[in-house]
Amino acid sequence: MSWEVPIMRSRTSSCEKTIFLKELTRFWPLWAAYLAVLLLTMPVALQGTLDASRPGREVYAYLQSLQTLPMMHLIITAIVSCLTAMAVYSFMYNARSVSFAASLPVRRGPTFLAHFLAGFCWLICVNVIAFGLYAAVAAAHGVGYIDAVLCIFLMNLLFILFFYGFASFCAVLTGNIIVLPLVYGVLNFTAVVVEFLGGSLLQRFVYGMPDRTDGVLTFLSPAVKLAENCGLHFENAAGEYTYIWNYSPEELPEIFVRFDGFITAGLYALAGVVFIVLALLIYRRRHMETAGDVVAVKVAKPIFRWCMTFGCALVIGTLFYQVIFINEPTGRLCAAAVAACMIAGAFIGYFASEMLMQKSFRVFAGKWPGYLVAVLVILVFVGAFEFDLFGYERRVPDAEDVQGVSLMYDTLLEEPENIRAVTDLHRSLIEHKERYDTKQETSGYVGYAVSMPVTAPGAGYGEDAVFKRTLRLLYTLKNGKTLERLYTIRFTEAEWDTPGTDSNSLEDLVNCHEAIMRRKETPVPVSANTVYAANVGGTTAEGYKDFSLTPQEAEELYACIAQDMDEGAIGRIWLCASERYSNTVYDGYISITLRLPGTENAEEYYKFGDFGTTPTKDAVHTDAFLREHGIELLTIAETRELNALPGAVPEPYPYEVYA
Amino acid sequence: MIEVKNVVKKFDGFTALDGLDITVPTGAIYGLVGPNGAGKSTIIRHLAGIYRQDSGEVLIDGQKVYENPAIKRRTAYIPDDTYFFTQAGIRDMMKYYRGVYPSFDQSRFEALREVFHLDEKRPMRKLSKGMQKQAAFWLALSIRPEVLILDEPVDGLDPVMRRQVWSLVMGDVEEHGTTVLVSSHNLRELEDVCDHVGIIHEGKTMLERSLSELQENVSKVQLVLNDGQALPEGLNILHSSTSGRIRTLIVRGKAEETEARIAGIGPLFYDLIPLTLEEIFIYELGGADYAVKDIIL
Repeated sequence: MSWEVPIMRSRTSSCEKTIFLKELTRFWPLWAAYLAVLLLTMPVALQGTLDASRPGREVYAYLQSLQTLPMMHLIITAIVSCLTAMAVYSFMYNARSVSFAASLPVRRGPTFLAHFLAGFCWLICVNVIAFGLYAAVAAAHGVGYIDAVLCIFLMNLLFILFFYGFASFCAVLTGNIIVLPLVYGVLNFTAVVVEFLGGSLLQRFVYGMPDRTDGVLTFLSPAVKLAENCGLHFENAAGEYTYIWNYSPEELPEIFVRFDGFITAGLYALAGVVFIVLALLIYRRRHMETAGDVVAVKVAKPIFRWCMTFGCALVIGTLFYQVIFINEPTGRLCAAAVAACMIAGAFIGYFASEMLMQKSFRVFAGKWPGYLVAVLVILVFVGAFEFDLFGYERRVPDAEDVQGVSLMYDTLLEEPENIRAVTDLHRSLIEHKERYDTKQETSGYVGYAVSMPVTAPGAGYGEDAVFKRTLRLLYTLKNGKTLERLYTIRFTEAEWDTPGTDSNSLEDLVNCHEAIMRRKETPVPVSANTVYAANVGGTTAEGYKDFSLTPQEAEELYACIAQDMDEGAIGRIWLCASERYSNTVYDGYISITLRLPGTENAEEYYKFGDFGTTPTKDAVHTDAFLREHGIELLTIAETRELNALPGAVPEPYPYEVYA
Repeated sequence: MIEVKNVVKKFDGFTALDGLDITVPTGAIYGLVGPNGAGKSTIIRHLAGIYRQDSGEVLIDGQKVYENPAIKRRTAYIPDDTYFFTQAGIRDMMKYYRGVYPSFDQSRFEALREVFHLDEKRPMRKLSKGMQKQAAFWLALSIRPEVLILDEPVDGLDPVMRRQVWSLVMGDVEEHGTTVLVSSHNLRELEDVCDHVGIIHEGKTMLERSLSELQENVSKVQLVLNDGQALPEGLNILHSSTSGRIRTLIVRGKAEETEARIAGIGPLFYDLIPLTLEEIFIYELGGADYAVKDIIL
């Protein structure tokens, strides 16, 4: 008996072709639904939008529609890729179907590729149809920019390559169809969540730890990274860009559609190809008897176990901490509480992973050593930060290495002497850790611009009243890196008024000449031509009044304000609502809305900007202007007296507001 | 020829096959029997190319089965729990098989329509278990396989259809020299169709012989002795029982030799009765402390 098969190669390809074609037709409802969604959200929606547009506005509507496409496709592609993977690899998750597939006379590799390609072809075909019709609708209305449609199509192909490749990789790691979307979804966001929760837990006991992360791990959360980086904007010939409706019809022909994130999308697409190859290799080695298992690949089991353990330590640990320690402990107790919550979370994660992998609740025997390792890792991790083994709390950059530093209220300082003063203040804050690192008294107030006394609220400030301010230091180093710290400083009025104290130094820094000059800057130049609206509102002897100014008056007022700013008499930030503050600052606000006209015959196209500040008695030029125009505001102290308000009630404007 | 050599397979530490050896001659119908959990389905899935053994060899005609499309093209496998695409009817599955198996014989498929009276357009999921089994045979036999691997193949089939199916299988064996390996708990049914038998237990081969060899080697003797007469010497008696004056002996040895010895003492009456496969297993293995009851019940 001969086993030779005539024309073996062609027969082999016939088998794969049969599997491929079967997969193409088996899941047609999924592809049909995908096509319907894309048709509704693309050509049909565009047709409706263009039909509803006023004459001459079609291009705006069209370009706005274009701008929504990358993000829309990112979301839809991420979801549909997962659903496609669930469909075409569904045979792997059932003992009967996997046996059927594996008993066919086709090698594992071609089997995998036949299933993969079936899904991939559909994803591409659906997009070709949807984008083709979208371009056809655009062409029929003569709105152009067809090349932009092609670019978005190409960008979506990159999305498909990545997300479908990644979903394929997730598909071969598990033997359970329910686990596939969970793993896929979790891995798309894990890094961001871990970074956020890790930072959030550390912030509770690490002095100076900011409340936001720098996102260095975001690239490991593909959906987030792509959403952040990929999109398009409309640029004029000078390379400037703004919202599409801000361009005049005359400018439109000169507008370019610029794509952001093509390189990012390309890199992820490459990663997608790597995932496809890995999925293929894993599938070839995968044991078919793992159908139904949560983790189908042996080497992935310890990874799953430890990811679950430390992931739960973070997520459930944070939850436990929030629920159990409502009154946050301080100092070493805080670190101990965080460690205890993480250890409890790790317990759940570690043994839950064992239960899922073994499909049994009886997993405790013999597994404790592994859990103890996890406990040890958590204790070392928390201990290292608590005892500052990494030098995180003590780190202050050298002033020479700093390009610029941002303080509160977006105060950016770049002058060397100011940077040196900031680093000196930073060192002082570290020296005074014991005083400032007392979380209980600061909770609820962190981040408030309003300076409120911590002690005895409502009972009058008094000499012993303690004020607090949140200080965010964001250094931009000359090597391009950034360093961020967040502190809450606490001070009495006497300390604030004493030169050399932290609060006094901070007040000097945020009100230095460089800082005030930056507050003078406006996004649109201030002139009678650019002032759209201007008013002064505040308390007068007759009560609250609002005064409107003409553009000419506003231009004059701004000139006075600028002069006062040059002299350091206005545009200050007051850290402490002292008597001096109450007697100096008027209970009012100056607001100027600016707009840059487009063309004379298209009046509605403008670029907008705002400027605002709180007038003070010290600002003599501004004060004189206001009085000349019959605007006589009361100071905050006078207002308080007028209204007989108790001193402890925070004033409406306890600091000067600036643009 | 199917050869399974010293195959070991473990699932999460549990040893399903523990050095299993099986040899199925070309053109034989080999019955694989064993208690639940003995490893029958596991070795069958190895032979179908689904599982990869941890060690040992699984060969068909001297070639490994795993990842060998050339061998699998000539092999048809009918599992105990058949699988078809959810929405597909028999005709759809036929087209699929036709594309996947180059040896698919369309004319045979058409001819077998007379045997299996099934609605070809009806979705498989709407067919009963027995009808799905029929469909599986219809498709498998249309491949014209040279090796047919059957796992509890006739479960769910009515007696008439069982006969039909076995008749078709034996016809293929006779006409085309098809090699058949069939696992079943039903020893009585296997006895009718198999010419070779292997029994496995706890992942190991306990016994493997041709059926005739087995039947020739053990005899059941019923005899009535004269008063004071003793049994002849030299009989290897596996089991003895008495009912009134009639004694029933299970004797190991060639039937002719056994008969000659008994005839030699001139008993009042004697008769040699062929043993059923079930009885052979009981008496051959009953003393070996194996779970023979599990196999039989």
